[in-house]
Amino acid sequence: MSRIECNREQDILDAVASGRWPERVDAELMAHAKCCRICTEVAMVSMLYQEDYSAALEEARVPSSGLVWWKSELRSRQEAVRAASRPIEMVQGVSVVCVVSVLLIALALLSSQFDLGAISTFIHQQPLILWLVMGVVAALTPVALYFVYSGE
Amino acid sequence: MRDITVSELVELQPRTGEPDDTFQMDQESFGSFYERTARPVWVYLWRRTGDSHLADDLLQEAYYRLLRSRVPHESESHRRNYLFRIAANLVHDTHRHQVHHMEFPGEGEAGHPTVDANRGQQSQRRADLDRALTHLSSRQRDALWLAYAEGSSHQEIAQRLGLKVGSVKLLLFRARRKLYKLLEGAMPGSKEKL
Repeated sequence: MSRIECNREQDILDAVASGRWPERVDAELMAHAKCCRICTEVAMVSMLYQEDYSAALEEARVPSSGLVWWKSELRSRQEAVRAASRPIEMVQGVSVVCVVSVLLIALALLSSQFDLGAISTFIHQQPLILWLVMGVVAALTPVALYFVYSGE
Repeated sequence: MRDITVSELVELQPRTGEPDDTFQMDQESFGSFYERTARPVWVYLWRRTGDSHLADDLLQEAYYRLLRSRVPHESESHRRNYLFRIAANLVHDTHRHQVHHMEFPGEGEAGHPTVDANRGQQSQRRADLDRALTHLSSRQRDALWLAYAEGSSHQEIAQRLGLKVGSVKLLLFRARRKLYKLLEGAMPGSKEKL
């Protein structure tokens, strides 16, 4: 199996990190690097990374710690409010379901006392546009309720 | 969701100096830890996402998650490693949600932090490195970054990436060889510079 590391790797890395590579490095280490494939790769890759990292650190413009702390606190409190209001929303939802259920039951009980034939005739006498409007309202109401109660 | 009332908004305003028991650090210790770690983390996020604005957002998110975490940190290095793992996970999540191929902005383009026209050769080498890195896996890039940019030991890389030391050595070996081959093609003559 081929080697995956060389015991001179760390020497190469130290030389690159301290800026001694390649001009001010020991001749013996340089000679080794030229004939060791692993060290050749380590030297080239680490030089490129060091150059990139140094330049990127210079260019970095990070926000202040105070700003990051303040935003974190604000978000933490918002999440606390959201968590606290979740049970209230659940109770509201259950209440709506209960009210609708009671209304439907009441309607079912009352409808048995009406003349269904007369109701059917009444429905057929109304213009089509009225039923269209009622249909649109019925379709949009759940959507509107969703947006009101869904939060974000 | 119901509207937030004015009194709730007032309550939401953070008060300076007030201890927040939902965070694992107080403001002072956070400030000093942030000063020591924010720049390397931001650079990592920027180099991995290619977008300085996204790096800002992810930096905020990483520190927020660190503050909210309930993981006990026995040392500064443990906390640093944990922060890096959060940052790495955020980057991986971002990449998972990005369908398009990532292109790094050149100097002077939107998304690049600064403009400096006097870095011709260096810019070219950095651009070559960026291009070559797009052919490596996310984990390979993380390992190379930690080893050669931040100078982390195999042990530290193993802790940060959640791997065994032996796996890190193999991962680094394969990643480095692949990158070297890609760069050798992109930068002829680079070997002679040794």
